[in-house]
Amino acid sequence: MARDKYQTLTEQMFYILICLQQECCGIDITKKILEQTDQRVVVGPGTLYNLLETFAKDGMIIETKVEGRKRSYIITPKGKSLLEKEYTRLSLLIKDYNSMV
Amino acid sequence: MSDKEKRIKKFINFRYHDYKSLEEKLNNYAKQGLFLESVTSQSWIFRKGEPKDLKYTVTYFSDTSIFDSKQTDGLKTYIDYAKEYGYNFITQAGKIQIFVTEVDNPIPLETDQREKFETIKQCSKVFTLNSYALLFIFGINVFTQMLNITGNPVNFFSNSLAQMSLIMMILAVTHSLHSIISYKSWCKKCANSLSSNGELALYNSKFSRFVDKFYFIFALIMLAVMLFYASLELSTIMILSICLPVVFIFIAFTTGFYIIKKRNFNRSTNRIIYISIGVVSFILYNLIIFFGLFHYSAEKEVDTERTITVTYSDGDTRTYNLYSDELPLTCEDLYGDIGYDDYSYKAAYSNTLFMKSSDYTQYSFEHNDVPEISYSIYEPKFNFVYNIVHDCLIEDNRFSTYTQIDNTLFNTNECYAKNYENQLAKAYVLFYDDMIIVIDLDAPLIEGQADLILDRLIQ
Repeated sequence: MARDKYQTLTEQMFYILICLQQECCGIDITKKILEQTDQRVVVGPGTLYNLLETFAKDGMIIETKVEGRKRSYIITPKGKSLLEKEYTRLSLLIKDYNSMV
Repeated sequence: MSDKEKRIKKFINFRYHDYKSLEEKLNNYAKQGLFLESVTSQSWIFRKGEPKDLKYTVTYFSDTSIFDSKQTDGLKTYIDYAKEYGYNFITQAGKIQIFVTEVDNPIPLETDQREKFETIKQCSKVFTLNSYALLFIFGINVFTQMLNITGNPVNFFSNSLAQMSLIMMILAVTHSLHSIISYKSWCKKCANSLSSNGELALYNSKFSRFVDKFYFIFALIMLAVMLFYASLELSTIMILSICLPVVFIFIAFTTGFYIIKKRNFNRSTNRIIYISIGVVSFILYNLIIFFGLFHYSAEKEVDTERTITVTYSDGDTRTYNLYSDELPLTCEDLYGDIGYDDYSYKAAYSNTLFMKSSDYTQYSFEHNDVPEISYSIYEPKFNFVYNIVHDCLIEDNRFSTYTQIDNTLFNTNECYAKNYENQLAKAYVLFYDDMIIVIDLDAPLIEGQADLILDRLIQ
């Protein structure tokens, strides 16, 4: 199940993991993504919560701080390797595109 | 306007995964000045106000349960995230969370369609499990009823209650099947759409709502008709034994939910409380039915002035009502004056979709050495019913065999004598064009009795 889920990452998954290379709390992640992508990638609050929960459950990120209901997270080595795998996959796509088009 | 007048209760029917139609419905209600306030186990409660253009969003949150007496920390965080984007939490119904926003073109609560699909599937697990469980239970019921029908088709064709019970169970099976198939097909469409980076598939809610309404109305009509037939055949105490516990169970479960919401127990404790209420209600329900069956007659009470008290060999005494129904043929007709006054003369009629039947018996509760008689007249309404009843009535079993005899005796198309072990025939099955008669006498026929039977039973 988990293997299928992470075979290819959705844009939201990809950007959340990128943001969490530095410790960051939930709602700030969405703001960061909006800034980084010039408002192109939007992560809805429902999606953000569900993805953070799933990533944490699957050991891709780890909770670092809880202040009230404000939770902060950071990426784990497992999450980093997933991110790198996705980067490699995307790079291959770009390489193939450049060589064929 | 009082607080009560400001609120309106509605019953909303929607499929668990059909969030789109629910969102549209709530948006439309808001335009009419009805704003969702809360969801209870029986209804959706709306507050009346000035019409507004609001946008409702229905989301699924797996870490909640109907057994939660208060919001979980996870849900509170989820609500906080939503608030940052201008969404106000309204209420929850099980794993469904309902938010509203007045913001124009708001950022959707869920922007990752794949994640949303996984969450819906996760939250629908209980729904699918329930559907499979119901399909299994109703399927087993239909199967056992079919076995009973093949074992005794005559009883089925002449019993309206049995026919309706089967129809109800078939309805339940097809409805459960429809629920499962429609959900599975929606999942398949979603998976296909997501694999090509599309959106979640739209659910055919109009068709499903039509199917649900059809089943609901049909089931209500069937229940009303069943109750009508039950009132003709069963005693009042039996009908009460069946109906009252249903009301009792409903009240018990509603109270259970009320207790869960009022007390601040944790999810596990609430689950135990609720399941305990269910188990106790179920045991009480069965005890009431058992008590009803054991102490009271299941058959409809008869208004009779004649009773008989029988003392059994173990000293036990019981009083029975003696029926005085009009029978077309009696033992007195066949054997002359018998000199016994405590006979019960009982006639029962039924007219079902498949067959008209009349059953007559003249019997003695004391089991004195007096003759008894019983006979049934069947008038099947379809050829296939006639054929099935025909084959069933002359099927040999380990107690008796059937021998075809001369048609001239009863002027029949086909006539069979029922032979018990080492005994002369005392029972006959008579087949006419549209009618079948089964007659069971206490002694073999003597001269003139066949003509008398013909005269009395064939009008």
